[in-house]
Amino acid sequence: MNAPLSPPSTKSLEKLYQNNFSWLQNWLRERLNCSHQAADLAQDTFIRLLTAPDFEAKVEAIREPRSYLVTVAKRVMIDHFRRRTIEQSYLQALMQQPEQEMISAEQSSILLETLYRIDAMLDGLGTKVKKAFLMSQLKGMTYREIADEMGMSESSVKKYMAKATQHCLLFSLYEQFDA
Amino acid sequence: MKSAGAKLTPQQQKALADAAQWHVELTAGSTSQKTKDWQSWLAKQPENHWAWQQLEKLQKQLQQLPGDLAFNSLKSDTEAPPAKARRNVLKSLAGIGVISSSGWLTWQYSPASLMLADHHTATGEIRGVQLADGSMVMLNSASAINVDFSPVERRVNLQQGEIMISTSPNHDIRPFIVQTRQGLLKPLGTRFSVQQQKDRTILTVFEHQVKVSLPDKQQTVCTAGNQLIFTQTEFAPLVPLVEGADGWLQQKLIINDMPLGAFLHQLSRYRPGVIRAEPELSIFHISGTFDLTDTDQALMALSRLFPVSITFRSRYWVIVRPT
Repeated sequence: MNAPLSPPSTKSLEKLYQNNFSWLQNWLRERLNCSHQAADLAQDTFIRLLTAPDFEAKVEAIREPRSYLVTVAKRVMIDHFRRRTIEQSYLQALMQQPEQEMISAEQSSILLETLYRIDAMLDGLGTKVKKAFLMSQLKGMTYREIADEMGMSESSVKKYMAKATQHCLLFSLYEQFDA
Repeated sequence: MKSAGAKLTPQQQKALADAAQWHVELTAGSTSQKTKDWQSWLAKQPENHWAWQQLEKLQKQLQQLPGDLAFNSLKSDTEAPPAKARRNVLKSLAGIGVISSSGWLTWQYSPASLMLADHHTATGEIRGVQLADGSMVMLNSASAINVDFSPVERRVNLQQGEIMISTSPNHDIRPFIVQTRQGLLKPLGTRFSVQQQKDRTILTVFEHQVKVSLPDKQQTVCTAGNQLIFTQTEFAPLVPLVEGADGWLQQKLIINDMPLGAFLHQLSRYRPGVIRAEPELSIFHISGTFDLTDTDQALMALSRLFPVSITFRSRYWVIVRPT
């Protein structure tokens, strides 16, 4: 949020916020049964609006602010729970680590951020493609081993890998352009 | 991905696709001919060189991760339960207290679809919902249901966790159906609870009876005072219900002579985060009634009752081990 907002759009966002923030918070609370979480996610929803590319034009063009907010809030919720799922799997995986390989809290939080990023990067690839990619890149399995494990031909695994690698390259560049 | 595409030249995009392809070819196994071909591709135009640098950057990022740990954290949604695990389920049906090493966190597992369910409870929350026909559903901790009443049936879909249903006494002629991942339950009476675990359903009938059908049309009836555990393909034999099985309705965990490990597993359902219990703990057995609204207190009670130490690594991560 380095660039200052131009006055007209600040105003329309302000209006959107004032008129709908408590409404959205209530909507979220009904779903989450937790007012703290609802407040956080309502905040996140507005932050997402604010950081969206071309948000000024988008905010100006909103006809049905509440249904628009709900659409964005649902995405925020989904991302939130995706992260939580990863966090849970991570904690579970961590428990199975030998005690001496324990990771500090700080290392953990850095690692988790990286995992969220990779999860987002692989989102949109099919589950099989994703699985093959993870087995190759993280477990260091050979294509032959992956093919056996997944019950498919080695040439299919190679196709999946090429697809996933290309996708990740584009994703990383897209992230750089966005930043 | 579109906006990235817009900023990349067609040559760059082609180079990236080629780089990905080359990477796969070289990983599959390199021959001197292959290496030579790759080198000439690399030298052919600057875009290729650039694309290969991008690839190396990506590789470096991925290689820095602790592989197994990262893999296990990210694989969750790429997995259907493996067939072997499913076959082993019946072996573990022997008692409710049995814990599979991967079973620990299934209670808290809550993807977004569950949160968007018609009714759900957070970890530690226990709450009742009255359905349109007057039936009462109690949701145990971290549970979620979808309710679908149509002109022909009243269906409750148990997505996660455990519910207790008291069907309405008034005579709605539409059949009442509870659906779990393993089968369909049709109450022929009034009060029963259903718990969805990862690969199995646990049905406990307190009054009258409930008929259960599996996808392959197998059927059985569970009568009052009994518990039935079933997977998608098999029913375990009926066992008498454990006293206190409905204690959670009063926010109580009622335990009678249960190994400590199993007890902690039960407790973890009502508590966000993780309780890690050393396997040796199961030589100790515990009985008693515990307040589910204060799981910290239940944990602290353990250290008074048994020679165990309780370490809070954080509010969400508790380790219990013998001293």
